[in-house]
Amino acid sequence: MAGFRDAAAFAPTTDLQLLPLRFEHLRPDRYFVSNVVGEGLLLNREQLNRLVCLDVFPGDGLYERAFEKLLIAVKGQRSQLQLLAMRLRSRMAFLQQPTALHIFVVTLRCEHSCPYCQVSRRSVDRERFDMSEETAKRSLRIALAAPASTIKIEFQGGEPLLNFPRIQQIVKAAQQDAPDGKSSNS
Amino acid sequence: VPDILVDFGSSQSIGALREAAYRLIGEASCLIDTVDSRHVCRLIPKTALAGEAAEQALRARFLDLVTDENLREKVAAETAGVRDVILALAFGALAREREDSGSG
Repeated sequence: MAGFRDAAAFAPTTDLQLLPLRFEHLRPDRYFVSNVVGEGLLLNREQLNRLVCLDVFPGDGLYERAFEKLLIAVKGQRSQLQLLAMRLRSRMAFLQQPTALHIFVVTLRCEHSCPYCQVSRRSVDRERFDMSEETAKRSLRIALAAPASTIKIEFQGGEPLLNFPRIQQIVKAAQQDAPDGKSSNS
Repeated sequence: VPDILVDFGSSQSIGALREAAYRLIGEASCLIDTVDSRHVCRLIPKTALAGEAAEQALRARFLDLVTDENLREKVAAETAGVRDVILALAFGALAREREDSGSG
């Protein structure tokens, strides 16, 4: 019929290329295979080998699953690469922002034993486990040099209030030394 | 605990052997020596193995890990070019080109 192309022209292409992927062996004959943004699927070893060798064809199930997860692409077609790039840019957007959060661990000492806490707390020895004045000054210089317009200084420990004079010193120095136009929250 | 020797020809990537050795670290330590163009892996089990079957199982596990690492190297090599294109589209010159042309 004039005006219509042959049905074969609409068949999915088999001229494929492999996209970057990672895989991990989870349990016997089970692999987790993921694309560059971490989206993935579970395959057995035979399916993984077929995927890597591009031994997949429209209608075999694996072709469709791999295509959907952006593990394979049509050669020369840029739209799938752009889709992956867009997702990667969203996923890694935090890398384009200068560091705004600066955490000052002013002491490792703590009087509590909270069961959820991951810190290797220390109960004694202020000399060894408290942040020194010199370290605080140097750390603040680094924080204020960050190219972010606003920075946040967070105090952690241990129990940070056990070294309250150091917190007071850092807050005062931050307010005094912050360059014009840079604000800080603490 | 007897050591287990597994040797490979020179075509075997030593990088893949190192990665596999690292993944085996909970079960056995692995020393890799290159002698006369062959890589000899000496597996030292962390605990005593109960007989030859257990030795064979550890050897097979190591070979499976090496096989996986070889596949990872193959995939990385085959997709290096397209990975660069994706990164360029996401963050590099191609991303700037798209932004300049207002297409996103």
